Amino acid sequence: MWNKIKTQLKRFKKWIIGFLIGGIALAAGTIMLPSNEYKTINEIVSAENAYYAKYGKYLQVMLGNKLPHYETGTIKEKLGKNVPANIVIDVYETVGGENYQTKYKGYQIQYEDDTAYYSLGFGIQAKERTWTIPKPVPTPVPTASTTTL
Amino acid sequence: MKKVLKTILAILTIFFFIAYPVSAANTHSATLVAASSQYFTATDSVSLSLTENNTLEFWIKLTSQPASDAYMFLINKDDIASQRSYGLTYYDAAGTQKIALYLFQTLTATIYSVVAFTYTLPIGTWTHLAIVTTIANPVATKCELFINGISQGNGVGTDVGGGATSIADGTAILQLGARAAGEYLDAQIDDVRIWNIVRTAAQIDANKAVEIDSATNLQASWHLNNVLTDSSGNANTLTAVNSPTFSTDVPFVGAVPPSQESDLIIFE
Repeated sequence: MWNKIKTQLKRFKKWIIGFLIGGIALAAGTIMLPSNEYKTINEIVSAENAYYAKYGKYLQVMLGNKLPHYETGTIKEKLGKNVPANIVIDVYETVGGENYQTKYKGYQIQYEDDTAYYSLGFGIQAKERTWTIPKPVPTPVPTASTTTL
Repeated sequence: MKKVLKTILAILTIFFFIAYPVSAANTHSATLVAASSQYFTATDSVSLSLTENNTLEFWIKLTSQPASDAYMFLINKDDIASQRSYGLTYYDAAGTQKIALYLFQTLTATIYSVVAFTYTLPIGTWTHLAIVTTIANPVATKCELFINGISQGNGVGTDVGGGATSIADGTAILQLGARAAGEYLDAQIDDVRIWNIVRTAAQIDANKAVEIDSATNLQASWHLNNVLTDSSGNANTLTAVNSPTFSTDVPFVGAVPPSQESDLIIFE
């Protein structure tokens, strides 16, 4: 009986070793390579708020997970994780109150899908910076020439 | 006789400062970097809703030309969707730089006029740009461009849907240096003024190097002297988006009273 098992083990030795190595690598990968990117808008909002609490300003993020020219370092260093490449975060600052002495800061998260452009505003201008603009439905090309906008 | 003349001069001086208050000095301009998506916005207001004749004017010092077939928006009140009013752009059309003004009569751009001027703004040199709209005119004479106070003519106009005879009063925010979320301006700008009247050639030329705080028909006046406030009295406070900066590089130094600078100041 034992000899039979031994023979079978020898026969499938390469397969068994392969499965073992693959399994260990997969497990290690899962444990050692966690997601480096925020997955939801709520996570990004939390990260921006934490950044503001620490530095007194919000972080601008450009398309492609890039920082503007006036920032140094990386988004991962600043926000803890990367931001998906299709997300844009604009930051704004304005003044108000008596003699315009009060400074207001906020930000706006923008992205798009196949059907629309989306913007979510935060801060004093949250309302006017929150909108959805549907993408135009393709129409047949007109025969008369018109000026491109 | 001398006394009478002195009295008249004093009265005229007082009248000028009442009718036409000017700022103390032009200390700053604003720098917008296109690569970092920097621009200014102002909330929609009655004063920014230009529905008829108007004049847009400002100083600009270009940092780079628009890329091939790309647009840089200068002054814009257009969400590119359902709230389209007007937009002034500097753009590249197959290697030729142009300035164009879009005037939408309907908010969804079914009726509009666009007037384009072939003009290359220089890089690294301050230039005063003014564009005047007489909305009732046919498109061939609807707009006139002034560069450094000198007329560049009426441009080439196109009417769509019959052409604009008024400008739609939309709710889009006003943007300086961008349109919607793109087409950013790469330049320094200074002393941006919006009028709801046709300014004459003499008025444009005589006042291009004067910071006007308030005047009849002046809808907005942003001196950009390290502040975001509107000096016209209409409270169109700017919002700085993506951290544009202020620079001490300015096209002119001070708001010099007319007696010291020019005899061409036109009283309102």
